[in-house]
Amino acid sequence: MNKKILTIRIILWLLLAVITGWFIYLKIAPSGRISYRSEAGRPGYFIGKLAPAERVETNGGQAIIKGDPAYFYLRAPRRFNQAKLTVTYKNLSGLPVVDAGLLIDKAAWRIDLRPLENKTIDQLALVWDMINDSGTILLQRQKKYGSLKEFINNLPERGQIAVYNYNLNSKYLLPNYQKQDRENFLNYPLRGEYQFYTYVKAEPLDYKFSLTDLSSNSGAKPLDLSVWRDDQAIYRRHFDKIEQRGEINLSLADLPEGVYKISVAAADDIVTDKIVYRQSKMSFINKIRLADGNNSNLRLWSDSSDLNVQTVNPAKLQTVSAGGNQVKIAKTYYQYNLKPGGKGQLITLEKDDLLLSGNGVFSFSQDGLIDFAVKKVDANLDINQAGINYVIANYSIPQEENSPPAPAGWKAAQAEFNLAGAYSEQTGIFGAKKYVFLISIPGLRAGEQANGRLELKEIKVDLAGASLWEKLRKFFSGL
Amino acid sequence: MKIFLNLLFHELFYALTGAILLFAGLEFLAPGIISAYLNLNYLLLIWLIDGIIIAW
Repeated sequence: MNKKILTIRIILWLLLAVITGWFIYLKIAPSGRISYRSEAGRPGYFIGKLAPAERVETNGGQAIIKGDPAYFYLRAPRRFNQAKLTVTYKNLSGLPVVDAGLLIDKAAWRIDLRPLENKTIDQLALVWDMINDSGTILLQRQKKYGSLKEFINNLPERGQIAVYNYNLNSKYLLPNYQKQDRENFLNYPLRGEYQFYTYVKAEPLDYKFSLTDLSSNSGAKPLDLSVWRDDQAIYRRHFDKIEQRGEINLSLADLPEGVYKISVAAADDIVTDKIVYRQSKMSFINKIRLADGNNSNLRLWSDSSDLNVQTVNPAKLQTVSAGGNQVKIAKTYYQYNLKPGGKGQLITLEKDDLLLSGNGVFSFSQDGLIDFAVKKVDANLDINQAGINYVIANYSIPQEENSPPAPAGWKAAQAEFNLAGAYSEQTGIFGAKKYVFLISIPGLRAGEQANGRLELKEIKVDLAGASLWEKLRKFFSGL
Repeated sequence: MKIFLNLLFHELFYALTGAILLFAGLEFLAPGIISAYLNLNYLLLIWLIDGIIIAW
């Protein structure tokens, strides 16, 4: 009997040890790789529920996205470097573009967007000549170029080119650009983060930012200033805090001619009261958030074909006009849409304290608008009407989902993200790291489009990082 | 047979007690390490049922 008890005891405790070891193995992921898969409508611990409820419905194991965007959490058991997101979906929105994104900066709400689907490009790939060079594809209406390199080195007239998830702007030179020898002033206050393009030719890059931190009583907020060329940061500076009325000077000399992007990453508590600059071009990228400066009758120019406007201040309800069209902002916290009906249109605002966003750039002077003349392959582009003969994109065409029992019409698309530097939350020292992902269908508005939706069947995430062996080697080599 | 079952339930009770303490401790140190895969409430329920059987 004692022998039997001992045997049972050994078996039970051995089983407990094995089970505990298995949990620890799953936590550590010693190989450096782990995958999670979830039905979109039945979230689990690692891949969370799609939200918000106003834009997402569940139907059994499927999730239905009715408005843009939808968010979900990913819990990673430990630190990983890369995440490959695979989404199985059916795009019934009537809109051509579906993107996936990863939240990089919560304060500035900066998101790393990657393409999942672009129906326009998928259809062109069936009839146009296609060159695929390590994930960058070149589509030609009539084959003229034998390689991607040949195309880049001998660009055709820019009006014939459209891009998707590809930066062609660095090759862009303004033939008639004249530098100015005077100071320009932007006196409209801007709230939070913003990015803008500027142009430099035989002159220093010269900007002075006057800032106010409205949160100075509840804890100062940091600010990051960076300058980019060719998607490479050539200058970065971090400020732990801004004095109540602070000034930041940016001056870079001996820069090669071309387009530069300046990024100010800051929380909404930081207001840029004034910008003094010497460059003649300044075009804010995709959005501009005007703060309350008691300004009226503001004028901006934009090449956006689709504008969104919103205010959170009930005292700033107003009518916004653009290119002959108007929209009345009658309530706060609601995004209104306006189509200016052409490029380089004048936008007039009765009051400030407004968020303007669009698929192009914004400038406070018509001359300050940088018109890249390279169109983007989005929902508003008619390839034939716009005279596009070449499309260049960093994009992989989604695969039809053929594995049974999936019905026809489902596609699987992938997007890869770099997790290093992404925003994450962690409970405790050894807790899981929680990342925020999103699925975006630009133009899909909940309640506005009858039956317009994106159905999601499955979300899969493959995580990759340093293996246990690599971590141990690094630890001991550091001793 | 009855004695054997009694001993079995006793040993199971000890093992389940150990499991609950171990898993709760791991869960405290690294939230989600156990609860991502196993609902600890079910483990507690089995432990309770086992305890009741032993007491009976």
